[in-house]
Formats: sequence, C-alpha cells, structure tokens
Amino acid sequence: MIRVSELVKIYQTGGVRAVDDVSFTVEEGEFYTLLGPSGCGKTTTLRCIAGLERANGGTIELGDTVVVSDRVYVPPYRRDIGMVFQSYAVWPHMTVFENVAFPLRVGRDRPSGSSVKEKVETALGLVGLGSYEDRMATQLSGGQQQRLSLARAIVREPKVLLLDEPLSNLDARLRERMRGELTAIQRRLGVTTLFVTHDQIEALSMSDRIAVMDGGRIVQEGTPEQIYHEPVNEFVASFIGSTNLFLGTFVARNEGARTVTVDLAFGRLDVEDPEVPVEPGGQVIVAIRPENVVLHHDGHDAVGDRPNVVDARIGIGLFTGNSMEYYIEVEGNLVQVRADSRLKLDRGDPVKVEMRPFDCRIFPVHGQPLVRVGSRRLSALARVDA
Amino acid sequence: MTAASEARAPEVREPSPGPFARLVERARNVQARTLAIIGIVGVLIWLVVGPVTMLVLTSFRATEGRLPISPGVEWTLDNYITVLTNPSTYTVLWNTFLFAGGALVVSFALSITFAWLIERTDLPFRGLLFVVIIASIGLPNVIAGIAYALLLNPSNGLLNIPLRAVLGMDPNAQGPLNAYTLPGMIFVQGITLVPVTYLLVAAAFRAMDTAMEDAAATSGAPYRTVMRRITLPLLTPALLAALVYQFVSVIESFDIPLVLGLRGGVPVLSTTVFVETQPSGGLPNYGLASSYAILLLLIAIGPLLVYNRVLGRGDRYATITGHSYLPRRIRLGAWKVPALVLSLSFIVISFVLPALVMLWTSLQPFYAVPSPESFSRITLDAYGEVLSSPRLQRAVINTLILGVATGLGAMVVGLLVSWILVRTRSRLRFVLDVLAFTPHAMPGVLIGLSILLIYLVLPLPVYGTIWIIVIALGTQYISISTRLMSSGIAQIRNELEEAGAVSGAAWGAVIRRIVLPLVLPAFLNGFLLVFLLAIKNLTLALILFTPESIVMSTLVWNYWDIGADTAETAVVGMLMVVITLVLSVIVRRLNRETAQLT
Repeated sequence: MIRVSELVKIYQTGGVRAVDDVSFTVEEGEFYTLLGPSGCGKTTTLRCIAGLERANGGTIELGDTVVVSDRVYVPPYRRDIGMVFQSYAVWPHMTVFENVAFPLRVGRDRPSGSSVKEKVETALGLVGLGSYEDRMATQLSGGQQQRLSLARAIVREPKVLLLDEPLSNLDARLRERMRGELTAIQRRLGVTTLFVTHDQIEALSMSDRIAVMDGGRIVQEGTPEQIYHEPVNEFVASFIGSTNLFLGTFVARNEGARTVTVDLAFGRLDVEDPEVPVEPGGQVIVAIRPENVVLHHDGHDAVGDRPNVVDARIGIGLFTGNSMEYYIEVEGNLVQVRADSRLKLDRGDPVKVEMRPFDCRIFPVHGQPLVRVGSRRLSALARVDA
Repeated sequence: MTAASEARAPEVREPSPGPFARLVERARNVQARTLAIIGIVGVLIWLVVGPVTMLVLTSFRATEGRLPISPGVEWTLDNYITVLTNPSTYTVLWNTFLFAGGALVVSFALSITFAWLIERTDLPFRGLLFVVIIASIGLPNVIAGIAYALLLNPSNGLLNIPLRAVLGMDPNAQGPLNAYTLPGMIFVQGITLVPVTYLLVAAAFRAMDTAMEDAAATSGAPYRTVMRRITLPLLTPALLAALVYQFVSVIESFDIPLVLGLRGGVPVLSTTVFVETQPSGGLPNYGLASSYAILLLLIAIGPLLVYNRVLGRGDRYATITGHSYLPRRIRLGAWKVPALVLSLSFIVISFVLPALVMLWTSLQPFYAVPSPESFSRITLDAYGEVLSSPRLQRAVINTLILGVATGLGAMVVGLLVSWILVRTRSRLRFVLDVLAFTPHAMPGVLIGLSILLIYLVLPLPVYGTIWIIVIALGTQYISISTRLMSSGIAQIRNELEEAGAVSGAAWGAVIRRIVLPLVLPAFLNGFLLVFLLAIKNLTLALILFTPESIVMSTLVWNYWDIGADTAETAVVGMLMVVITLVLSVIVRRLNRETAQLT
C-alpha cells in the first residue's frame, strides 16, 4: 500500500511548486497510474516516493512504514521498493546476472549465494531473459534492457514497484507488446504498483485506477472507464482521447428530463448533466467524443423528432484503417466524427449528425478556456464552399 | 518588385547550359574541393612533418656547436649513445617520472574531490570554489611558478618567515619550505593542473546518467556502496582518458621546471632539451638536444596509444538516456566542515596568496617582507618604469600580433581540416586526421626545437622574427582548433549544406554562405581560446627568443632570470594576469565546452 498525503515539492530554482498538495492512496496489489503531460509533477511525485527527491511537506507511507513526514526521511536504500527508470539505468559494467543480483547483494538482509542465484533466475525467467545471464548488459537490445530493468526491480520482492515511463523508449510495436506483458507480470506478482506515464493508451489499458495530474495537482482520480467517459473538466476531456469541444451558453435546466439546454454556435443542444453548477446565461463547454457522434447519411434514416440532430455537410474524410475520420461542417463549425471504415462519403455530401444527450459532457468555463475550441484554420480549409 | 525582376531579366534570357557546360561546371566544383583538400594536406605536411623530419635527421648528425647541415658535419649515432650512456640521463628520467606522477596525483586527488563536492553535494560556497578553479585557467604557469618562488623560497619566502617564527626556528635559517625542490615543483605543477583536470572530471560526472546511481539507491545500496560499485566504475574510462591527456601535459610541462627546477638543480626532460639548445656557456648542441627531444616524444606517445584504445572502447558504455534530472545533492552533514576547510584552503593557496604576493611585490621598490616599514615604502614606481619602457611596448605589440595571428591561422586551418574530416569521404582523411592530431602528442620543446632547426636551415626570412613563434604556436594548437571546429561542424546538419547544393550553390558558395556563418560562433570561441593559450605560452616563445621577438611571457622570464628586478617581474606579471584572466572569463562565458580544452 502507498499512502501519500498533502505532498508538496518546491524546486529552489524559480520556486516552482512541482507537486502541490497531492494526496492519494494505492491499495494493496493495485496498479495505479499517474497520468499527465510533461511538467505536471507526476515524475516528481514518484521520485519523492522513491526517496530520490526530498518533499517540502506532506507524508508518505509505504505499507505500515512512514517514510516521509515532517520528522522522518528514510533514504531510498532503506525503502522497500523496486524501481524501473525511463532510461532503464542498466549498469553497463555488469553482466545481466550481476545487474539483477545487485539489489540482493547490497541490501540489509543478504541471502546466501545459492538463494541469490535462484531468485535471479526466477526474476529473469519471469521477464523472459532466462538464457541471457552471462551477457554484458549493453549487449542487450532496448527491449531486453527494459526487461532486465524490470527483473532488477522485482528481484527483491519489494512491497512497492515504481515505474517511471518504462515504455517510452521502446518502438511502437514493442511498446504494445510490453503493455500486455508488464500488466501480466504485475497481476501475477500482485505487487502494489505506481506507474507514471504521459501516454493515455498505457494508462487506460494497464491501470486499475488513474490519477490525471496537471500543474502539480491531481485533477481527477478514477477507473480508466470513469476517466474516459466522465471527465470532470475540459483538460481531462481533451488530454485523454480526442474530443470535440464547443463553447456555448447555458440556457435552462429541464428538471423532468434530467437535462440542460445549451446554445451553441450551430444550434441548441440538450445535454444530460443536471449537476453542472452554472446559472442561465453562463458560459459552458460541451464535449463529445468523435466516436459518439452519430452520423446519419441515408436520407431515409428515421431520426424523427429526436433532440440534438443537426444538418451538416462532409468536409474532409481521412481513412485511418480501423475507422473513417470525418471533419463535418455544421453551419461553419467543424465537428470530428469517427465512423465505420467502410463508410464512403464525398466532400459536400449532406448528412445529419446526432449528439445524444447522454454522450455529451458539459463543463463550466473558468476564465479563459484552456483548450482552443475548434480549429479555425482547419475549419476554413475544410469549408465545403471554399 | 519591378526593379528586382528587371535586374534578373538578363539571367532569365540566357540559354540553359547544355550537357557539356554542365560537365565543365561539375569538374570545376570537384576541382575546387580536391584542390582545397590537397592544399590543406600540403600545409599540414609542411607544418608537422617537415620540422619533425628535420629533428630526427639532426639527432643523427654530429653537430657540436654547428648547424646540422653545415659543411663537415657527419652522420653519427653518438648523440643517442651519449644520451643512453650518460648516467645523468637516468637521473633526469627519474626526476621526470616522479615529477609527472606526483603532479598528477596531486591534481587528480584535488580535482576528483572538488568535482564531486561541486557537482553532487550541498557544499556551501561551491559556486565560489567553481569560479576560482575556472578563473585559474587564466593564470600563466610561468607566473604561478614565480609567485610560489616568492612565497616559498627557502631564505626569504613570504610564507617561510612567519612559519619559522611559528615553529620557533632561527629567523635566519633556511626553510622550512622550499619551492626549489622536487616536492615543491610537484606541488606547484599539481595546483596549476587542477583547472583543466577539474573540467575533464566534472564533465565525466555530468555525462553520467544519474539514473544509474538512483537505480542502485532504489535497489537498496547505501551511498558508499553506490559510489564504489556504480559511480567509480562508470567514471573509470573518462578518468583514464583525462589521466592520459594530463600525462602528456605534465610530461611536456616546461614553465615550472624552468622557474623552480633549474634553480633547484632538478632537471627534467623538457628543461634538459632547452638547456642543450641554450647552454649558459658554450655553443648549442642541436644533435644532442634532438636526441633528448625524441626520448621525450617516445615517453609522451606511449600512454596516448593506451588513451586511444580507451576511447575506442568508449561506446561499450553507451546507454539509453531518459529525461534528465538535476542530480540529487548529497547532504554532507558533519563532513561539511572538513570539506569547507579543504575548499577554502585551496582557494587561498592556489589563488589568493599567489595573487597577493605578485601585487605586493609589484608595489615594493625591492623585495621585502610585509612590515610597517615596507608598507610605508609602497610605490607605483615600478609600474611607471615598466610601462614607459620601450621593451614592454614592443612586447605588448608582439604579444598582440602573436595572439591574433596564431588564433586566426590555427582556426582557419582547423576549420578546413574539420570540414574535410566531417563531411567528405576523401581518401586523404586518414592522413589529415593523423597529421592534425600529432601536434597534441608533441611536447612544446620538441616543436620549438624542430621549428628552430628547420628555419635556421631554410633560407626564409622567418628566423628571429615574431612569425617563427606564430608558426610554432600555430602548429602546436592545430589539434585543439581541429577538435573545436569538428564538433562545431558536426552540429550543422548535413542537410543544411545539401539544401544549399540543391538550391544551386557551388561548393565554394556552400562553404562561404552556409557553413561559415553557422560555425562563426564556434570559430570565434576557438579563436579567443587559441589567443589565450598563445599569449600564456612561454615554452615556444623562449626557445625561439630573440630580442626583436620579445613577448610578454618572455619579458616576465627575462626580468625574473636577471634576479634583481622582482618588482618589474611582478608588474609585467600583473599586467599579463589581468589580460589572461579577463580573456579566460570571456572564453568561459562564451562557451562552457570549449573552455574544457584550455
């Protein structure tokens, strides 16, 4: 278990609050991810937990041990952790075996020689490097160094496994495979794991829970499904996956239908979110994922008098293999729609788009919207009558 | 708009060149490149191979006071027989090894400690320590030697007098410390080697991915284990390389053995070569001097071969890098006090005391210990006298010519050599590489002697002028200028030049319009660096010295060598130090990397 409360880290140069009052708990055996853009404080948080940075405030507990508080600072080598670094930090002057055996040989309770060999072999076997023991570490490929680094981190059977962007130096194909392997190894060992990444796919696919960080704070914590489908603000909505964001004006709350009505540049939408704390006339942002926008291209499609259906025309279609990405013009606004990859529509074709109330999210606008709403340049270029 | 199109009009009307014309054009381009390559190889052969050949030939000639090709001079092995059978040769060799080994131990022990303290710990005042170490690069060795001679000479060294009082010794006795001894030389040379050694070691610390250490810490290793099992083994290749680099520097070191060793009767190889060319009595024996110089060359080359092998295996340690972090700073805790005492003592001993003693001496009519009487005698007379002397004026002008000409010459050759090395597939690249690197292994006294010999023999009006010193210094610094420009050119992506070529620029135009503007900053840095090195250099200026070609470094030495003019020595020394310190700070400011080679 990892319990972090009110963690603060201020860098002396510039006085930046790299980590600003961060609290979270990773349950026993859980795979927990800190996700965010670079500079959001996720790696600093991880390094505070490892003891590689000294926090300026807050407490950190690993299992039952307090390792950081106002009075306590346990140095890294006294913490029951294993860590994988972004650069792998495989020691080039040692063999594969010596690299993995190192944590067993320098720790406080050193197992006997035969037990060291056994543990190293088990760890190397688990990551699939069983036959590489005698190689020099630098003779391994990038992917193998990454596995070696993982074996070294788990060989002590630590209470906590810390992963600092371990997949970001791998090429795309290998990264995909390692996502699966790393998750499988973690589930097999049942080790409490804290994972730091800027890659949303890694976070969504591997984690039990995710904390999205921005500007040194956690902005949303939840399961991958919650993070993806129920983002709490425009930052989370736009950082994870692709999202259409529309600036609009709050019109009214429809108590009976549990929806709210919003005026957008291209028309009026009903959005299912009765809780949003906005007064009529206030500015809001409406978000909808491209795959949730329903495209009605057959004139005979019965849309009836369903809400949130607007007329539109196809602007640009991009074939990506597993889908068609259409940029659709709705009264001068551009809406991104992900459709079946076999759907073939031409520039200028008239269509109807439907944004179902339960697919839309609505956020109040605080000051300047973080995300520029829509791409004016692309809108201008994709305009049908241009 | 219209004016531009009108100006272009005649070009447009010209018929496009036929295939034959295009071939001629291509041949011209190839020729320009090839000619440039052949020309540069020729220049390097002239500068490097010519003098060395002359030196080797001379070592087989029975000169004895004559020039090597004078009538009546014969081929002989006598010089080598003399060198190898003379017992004093072995004394000199032994001195050289003790001197080199001792100075390297002193400088590496200090540099590794300081590099670790500054790069990795929370030592207070580490910024000040860093500045002092770096600024010391601007202190010419000859002046450091003189300053320590003033501080530590056995009879009236400014440190010895209070020390005798503290130790209860007879005030008129000698010692207790003596700069004119082998330990004195080792100490002073060790201190003067610290800045460059520090930069090499600190660069190694910085180049290391600190995740390597972090990984060991998170694996359960306490700091001492991390240091022993991870940090030191990973630093070893870089430290070995630095050791060999500095071994060459200390083996060829001339200034401090000259100032301290000759008076103290501790000859080393470099001063032995010098004494044979400029004996105090009798005529120079160039043949014998050449044999000693070749012995010196052999000793300097050995470790360089090892150095290249170490470098060759460097990629064994190449690793993947991740996002870089400011390395964690180790809290020194109770060790803060000894670390601080060591650092402050170093600042005082290596910088403050030498600077103060030079200042003090320059303000005294004659050499005296600080006391109420001597304080009342403080005067600027020596400054007035030196500044109005025509010798100083000539020395300053000569020094300027020397610095500018050497800097420009070495950098232009370095630029062309580097471009060929980095960009072409020419078969002459290997030759160029070897030729441009060779001067690095050549001790200064050897370059000086061989240049002296060749221009004594050749009927060119160079000997006795400042230009022979320029040629010698230019030769010596080709290896540095080439290294600097190679990294400068390697940073310009090849596509930039190719884009120029496909836009229609010929080779000359690509070099002039694209390469030159882009490498200009690196070129200027290198120029200032070579300028600084050239005006600090005493070795070559002294071997090739004539009263006409006096420069500031030889002027300092002349005043000092006479013995009576300590105030004048100190005045010229102060002037020189001010110039070189300012220059070294500018160089450092402009480019942190280039300063590593000072």
